[in-house]
Amino acid sequence: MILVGLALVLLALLGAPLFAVIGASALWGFHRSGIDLSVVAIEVFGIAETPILLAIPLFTFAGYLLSESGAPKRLVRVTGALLGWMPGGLAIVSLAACAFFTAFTGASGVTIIALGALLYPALNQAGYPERFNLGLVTSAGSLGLLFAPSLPLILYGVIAEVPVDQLFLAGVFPGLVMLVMLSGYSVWINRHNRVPLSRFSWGEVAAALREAIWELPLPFVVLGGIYSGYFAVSEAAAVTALYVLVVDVLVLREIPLRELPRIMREAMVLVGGIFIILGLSLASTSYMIDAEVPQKLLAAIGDYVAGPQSFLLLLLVFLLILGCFLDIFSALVLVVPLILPIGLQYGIHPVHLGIVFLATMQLGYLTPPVGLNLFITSYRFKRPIVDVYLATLPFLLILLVSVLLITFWPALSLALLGAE
Amino acid sequence: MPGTGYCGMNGLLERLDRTGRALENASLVILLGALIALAATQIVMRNVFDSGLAWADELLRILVLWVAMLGAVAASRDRHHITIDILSRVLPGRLRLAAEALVDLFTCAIAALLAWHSARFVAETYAYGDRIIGNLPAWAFQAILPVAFGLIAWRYLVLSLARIRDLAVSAPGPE
Repeated sequence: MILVGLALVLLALLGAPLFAVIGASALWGFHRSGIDLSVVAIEVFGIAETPILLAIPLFTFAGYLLSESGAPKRLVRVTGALLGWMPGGLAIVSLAACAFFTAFTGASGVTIIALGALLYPALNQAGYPERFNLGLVTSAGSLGLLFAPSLPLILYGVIAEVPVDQLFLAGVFPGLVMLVMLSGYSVWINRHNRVPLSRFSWGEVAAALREAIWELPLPFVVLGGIYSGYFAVSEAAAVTALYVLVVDVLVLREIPLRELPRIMREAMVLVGGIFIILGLSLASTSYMIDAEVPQKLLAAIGDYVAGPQSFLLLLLVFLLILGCFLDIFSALVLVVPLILPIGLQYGIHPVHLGIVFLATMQLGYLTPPVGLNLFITSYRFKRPIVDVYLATLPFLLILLVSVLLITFWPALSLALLGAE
Repeated sequence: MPGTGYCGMNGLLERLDRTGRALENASLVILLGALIALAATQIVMRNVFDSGLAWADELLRILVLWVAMLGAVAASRDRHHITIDILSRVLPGRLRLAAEALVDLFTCAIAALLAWHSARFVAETYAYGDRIIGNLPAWAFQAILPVAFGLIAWRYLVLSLARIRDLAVSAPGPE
């Protein structure tokens, strides 16, 4: 048993696709308990029995379309018009625009490619220190993770069986905390170089808004639609996908029709990669629940963990280490089913647990050795990976402080729910 | 460049590869298109006519599974599956090739096992004559599982063969 486990870990570290590793462990687990292995296929088919999952391919596709269109440029212009007058204007503009964009593209690295490519040269030109810019673009690439309708929020809702609209609300303040803290740092680091991007002008605001007229309704359709009760989350996703498709391909014609198959393929490769892991981990999880793994874990830590605070601290350390090796999607499907029952035992609200989980895993994008954003930045801007590590470090530390705040101040996540 | 041409059967395998990619792209486009169109129709029906198509929600969920499984097949083609992969980065040249070949063979084996057991699941549904979406045979919709896992196994077999060939071609000795 232990040998098989070790072999699987070794294979994973050697680069075996995670779906194969998880699939193997599910097959092995059921085989040992003498259960017919076709149960694994039944569990994977469970993907077709979870209605909310419909939202994920639709939002992903919309996000990919947006990132290939002129939307990033218009978004930067609008944010610039609204926030550019502040000291450290462009840095704040970058953070806000990235956060907004990531919420829609689901933190898959698309933000760095679509927005970072615009912002990084602009930041350099505006006289910000280059290393600061590198770190800023890298860490901003996953900043909007806690804002609706981001993919990881939806996925947590699916796995933890928590209403997704509650998660959307819960993410607002924690997400803002991250945004404000990074903005504050940016202003402070550039305090000797107070470059406002531009003076505030109503004319520019109006012009920027007019240019972005087609994208402006999106957040209102998505969030307004969901909270007015007019749309379910997956319906909002369908409206978004159709709307973006029509606007970018037919109205603005920024995406030629012949490019569409490639974009569809790229988006669905991401979805397929996540869903196959989700499907197989449904199987491995149901085996682990059968084998009472959460109860055993609880018993094992029970002696050391006195109450909710120490549980959260232990969880935080565990997730930080986990985030160094696992991406957010795999971590979600693998780990949430195991820690959720334990968290409930300690009286942690499942919505708060979700926000803590995602906020901590967001740091995983920035931690060596496998942080996705680090590689994308290094690749996209042709900088040695070690430079990117060092440039990102201060941002990482600030985000860590914000994660501590989010973890030990549950009201931040729960206030908007009206719970507790 | 590794991965171009496979052991003398270049012509056939490459043609298969091209056809496969075209088929894959076409089905992804059609399925995703259908998904968007059907989901949008449902919203219009619900809000304007105050009624939905009864079978549509079920079909939508099946479409999600199909799109996802085909996406996973497409991901296999370009090795775009999510991995951890920290050890192989630090391995020296030939050892790395060997590790990659091993990992590909392992993936191929697991995908083949999954294909086999999904096929048994589908056969069982067929035998019971389960019906979904009104009165359609359930097995036909579940068949995507063995097909997709089978294709993934095939992809990783091809990838591993290419690795083994590279390993055989690259001269043994210090790199």
